Amino acid sequence: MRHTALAWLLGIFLALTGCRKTISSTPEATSYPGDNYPDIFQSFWNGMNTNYLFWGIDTTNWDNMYTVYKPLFDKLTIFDSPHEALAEQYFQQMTQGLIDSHYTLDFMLTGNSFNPATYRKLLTDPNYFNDSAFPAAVLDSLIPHKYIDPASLVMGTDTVDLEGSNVPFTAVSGTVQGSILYLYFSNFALSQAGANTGPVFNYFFNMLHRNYTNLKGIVIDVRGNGGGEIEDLDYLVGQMVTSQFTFGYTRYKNGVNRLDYTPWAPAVVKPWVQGSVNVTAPIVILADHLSVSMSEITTMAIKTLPNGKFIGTRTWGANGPLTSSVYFDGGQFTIGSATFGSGGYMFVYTSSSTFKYLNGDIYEGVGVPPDIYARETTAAYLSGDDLVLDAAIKYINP
Amino acid sequence: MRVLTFCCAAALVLLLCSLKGNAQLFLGAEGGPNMNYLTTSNASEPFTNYRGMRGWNIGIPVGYQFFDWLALEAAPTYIQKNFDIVRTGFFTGVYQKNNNTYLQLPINLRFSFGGKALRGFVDLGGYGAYWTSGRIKGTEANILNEVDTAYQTVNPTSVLGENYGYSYDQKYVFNSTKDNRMEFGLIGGAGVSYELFQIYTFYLEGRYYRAMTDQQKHYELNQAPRYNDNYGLTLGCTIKVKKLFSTLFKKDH
Repeated sequence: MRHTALAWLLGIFLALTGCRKTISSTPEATSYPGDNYPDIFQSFWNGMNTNYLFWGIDTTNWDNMYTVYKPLFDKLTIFDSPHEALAEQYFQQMTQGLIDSHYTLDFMLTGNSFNPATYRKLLTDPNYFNDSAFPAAVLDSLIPHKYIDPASLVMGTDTVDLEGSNVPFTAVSGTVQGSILYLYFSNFALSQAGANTGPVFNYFFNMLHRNYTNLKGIVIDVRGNGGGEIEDLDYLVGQMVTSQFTFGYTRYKNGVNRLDYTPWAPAVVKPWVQGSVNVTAPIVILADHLSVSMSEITTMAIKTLPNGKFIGTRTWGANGPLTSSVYFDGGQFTIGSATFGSGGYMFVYTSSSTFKYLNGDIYEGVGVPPDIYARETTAAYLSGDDLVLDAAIKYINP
Repeated sequence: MRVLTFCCAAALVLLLCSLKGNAQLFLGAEGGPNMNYLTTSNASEPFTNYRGMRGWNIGIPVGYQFFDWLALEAAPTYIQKNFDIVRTGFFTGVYQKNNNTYLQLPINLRFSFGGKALRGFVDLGGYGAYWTSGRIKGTEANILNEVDTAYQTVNPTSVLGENYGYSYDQKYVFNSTKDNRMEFGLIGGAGVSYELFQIYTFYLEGRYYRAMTDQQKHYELNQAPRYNDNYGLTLGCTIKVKKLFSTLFKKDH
């Protein structure tokens, strides 16, 4: 009897051990064929589960996207131009509500791209990109010639490499009203400053290190600045402080499912390794609706300082720092393997981390609100005024 | 929690029944080390491994001996089911140790065989467990805390040479959307026991706890499941309650 009972129980036990859900290994997004729409869809949908950093905050119902769009992609049975147009339309519809404001889909076959943040901004304000006189017009004719003391003006333009693209890099520095140190730069690529922009930064940092006790204030102008390299944070802000400070937190993915995140790590500014000074005068950062990414991170770092102030308008809303996905098991990824060459079917440009400001607010998708609201207008520009810089001067020199 | 309450009540009923009849009730204490593995899929995470981690468990076995070869046993247990996430290669130094504590109630049948004192046995059954707490300890590369000299010297040889690591050791905060705090599974075990003075039984057992439920709630389509697989070595001692009482009673008279 004992043997029968044991045998029965052992049989039941062994049968039950097989009742777990199957653990299928989800392949990397690039492992799927790049010329088959159902596979491309599956790859993209999986890749978003694994790599997107805002699940739990983002209100997009990603499971619903699967239910709705999988049958539509299954119907795209031929890999040709008309079906490609439909596929791109579906991808855009799936992603148009995502809050990650870095997020961009780059379609390799057609060269098309789609940025949900731009789509939404234009939907609510068709003049989002046109109704500001900054930066080109203000810089060309207003700030260097009206505001900056002529003897101090240093400006120049170089070409720099940002994420593999050559872009013009302009910088302007000088003093305003004799004792306010001003710095403008178009991108965060300070380490790449060349023959024309190098003297601008040399002037700014020399003035900072030698005359900081005589300065009434510092104005850092990142209006229209599209962002760039993270190392510029310590290089710029770190030269104005002598002790490390925390201005927010970042977290990353640490698993393949949507809500797998690491703990929040403090985002810090450290005094620059080659020297820094303790600036106690007001440090004002000017940013606007076209200030993106590193501009916003720098804005938040400066506004955290006891003598820091953000003047301008609400920023773009792309705060999550970004690097290669392999570093943090999340972020940007490529969909589908290419038939020829190194590119895949689609490149998904997305943040590698979520940023939370010191006060606990996450400004991704909504932008950083200014401490003092000021916005340039075409009318003001035509009458020779930069209302935002005016507000900064008034704040420093009341 | 309801299952745990039910199991405790069942154990209590067994205890009361045995005190009245001829059956042999036994109770005792057991404990030992274990090795836990989280079984999951992470094929899309490069240079990332899930590794087993040591833990320990301590329990109070309560059993009912029907025949010399068959007993029913329940053992409310405090058990750790730990695992480690480790990155390798260029990312060496990035890790997270996950220490998870469960209150577990295994209920199993014990089939024993052999001589009078020295016997072998096999345990088969199931368990219910409640994930009471967790602690995470690790280091992550911190994107907004760069090593400022990294690009001025030689190529960094590790991610922590580019970004300073952020080390943490903190309580795990449960996420009600994600975490499934109830766990059910199967038990298989085998061991040897030695009976002393017909009252005390010492035993050493190898046990396998196989979770059959996901450590996460089902909150997304095509979710990668996570299962605990726990291998333990338990040293224990039980006392036959009735024999003990009768011995004590005889001595008193």
